[in-house]
Amino acid sequence: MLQLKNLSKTYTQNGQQVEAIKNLNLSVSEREFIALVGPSGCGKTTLLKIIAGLASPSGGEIFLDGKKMLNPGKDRGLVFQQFTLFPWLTVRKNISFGLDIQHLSSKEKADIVDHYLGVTGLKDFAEFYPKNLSGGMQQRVAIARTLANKPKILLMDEPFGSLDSQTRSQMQEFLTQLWEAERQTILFITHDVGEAAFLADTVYVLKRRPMEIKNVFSVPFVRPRTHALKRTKAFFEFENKIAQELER
Amino acid sequence: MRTLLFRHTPLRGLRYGMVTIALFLIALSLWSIVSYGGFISPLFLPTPGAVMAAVIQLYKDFNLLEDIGLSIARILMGFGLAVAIAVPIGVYLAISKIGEAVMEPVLSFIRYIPPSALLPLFLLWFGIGETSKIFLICFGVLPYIAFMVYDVVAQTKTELVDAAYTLGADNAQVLWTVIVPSSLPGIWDTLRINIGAAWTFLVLAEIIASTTGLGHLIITSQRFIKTPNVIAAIGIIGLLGYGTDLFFKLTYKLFFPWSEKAHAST
Repeated sequence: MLQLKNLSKTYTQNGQQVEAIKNLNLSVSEREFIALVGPSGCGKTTLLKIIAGLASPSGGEIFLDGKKMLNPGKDRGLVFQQFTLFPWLTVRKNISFGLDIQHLSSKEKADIVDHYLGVTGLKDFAEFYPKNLSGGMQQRVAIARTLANKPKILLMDEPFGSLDSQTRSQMQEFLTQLWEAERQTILFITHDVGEAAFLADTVYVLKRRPMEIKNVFSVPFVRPRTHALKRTKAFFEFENKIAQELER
Repeated sequence: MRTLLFRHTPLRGLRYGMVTIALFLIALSLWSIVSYGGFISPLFLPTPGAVMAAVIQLYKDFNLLEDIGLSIARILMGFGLAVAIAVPIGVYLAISKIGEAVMEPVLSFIRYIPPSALLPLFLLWFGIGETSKIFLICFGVLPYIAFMVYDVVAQTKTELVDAAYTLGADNAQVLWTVIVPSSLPGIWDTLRINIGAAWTFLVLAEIIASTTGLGHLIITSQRFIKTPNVIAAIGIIGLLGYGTDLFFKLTYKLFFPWSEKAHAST
């Protein structure tokens, strides 16, 4: 459903041309969970911004369901690494932000928002302002806010990167359960190999400067996955294989 | 244990009020000692009693309330006009590419002209009526408000704007549902700071060219060496300023309960 064709991005830094992405081709099928793993500074965030329409590529094209994408739109939802909740809106209002923009009826909005408040376990916090939420809760609201908008694809840019390791594990498990329930197409970016292996169906390993796909791994673990999986030998070996590829 | 800097929680509620009252009492006693004790001639510093008597006399015989009312009305009009012009300019400067290049030199130029230097021109153009006073206040604070609003809006987090775009917002929606609400607390603070400056320009205008208002009261009292009246008028301006500040502080908490700062300020 999502196709990147010969995508490239060059920019000038201190008078020098930097080739961040070079002829990248990638396609994501419906209901697939794809993770891109790359070293920090390999342009992962730039790539997601280009797909989301927040930055323009220097060359190449992006297609979603066969249509060429040029501008940002609600069909490509993005969950950021930074906390991006609107601080002046309550949790409920944050989740319905995209729905408010579309001028849906209040009944429809309430149903959708209530559903995602339930899914993300935030019912009791609906009237809280973001400043009163922990980091993990803020990211759950951010995910709910994006999902409520019914995007065709969910783009996630190291969404758990600013969380402590314990919250991070909880959020990974939460996302797996969510994905198993909703089967939302996801393109997930991280530098954490374990995270990618635990969450995704397919893991792409990226090379930096320029960004190119080094290798692709199909994740062999059955669903539903729980955190116990992370302590198995098979998982450890698989994680190691990807890590070696990343460092090579 | 030693008291470490920046670790204390500021005073709140009753204790905060007690400090305020204590400070007031200390100042009043010092004033009483030097004035009643005869250390300073009443011509230079009258006694608190004389100032209170002046306030009562001004109220009874000289329409003090009318002077206060007129001064406040001028502030509201001059400041209101400045806000109505400066806030959109500041927002526009911050969100538009060409806006900064076009407007910044103009505003910088205006900013470095002391508004007091404009007063003779305003008097020439608009006469000694209300217009020149209102324009002086307006032009006095306008460039500062525009600059500070520009700064506030320019600090809008890009991530929030990006988030809104990916949630389907168009440019107008990003402006009205993200940039404006996220800037409002800062804009409110800008108004709070600049309304103080508006008083300076008002008194200046009233001292030079007016037959009414608190500034006029100050300058005529000085001409007739009625020092208690001068101090009474200054005290009233101070109280009005304090009230205005309190208004902005309380409404800030009321309007922006979501702000991180809403916790902290009293």
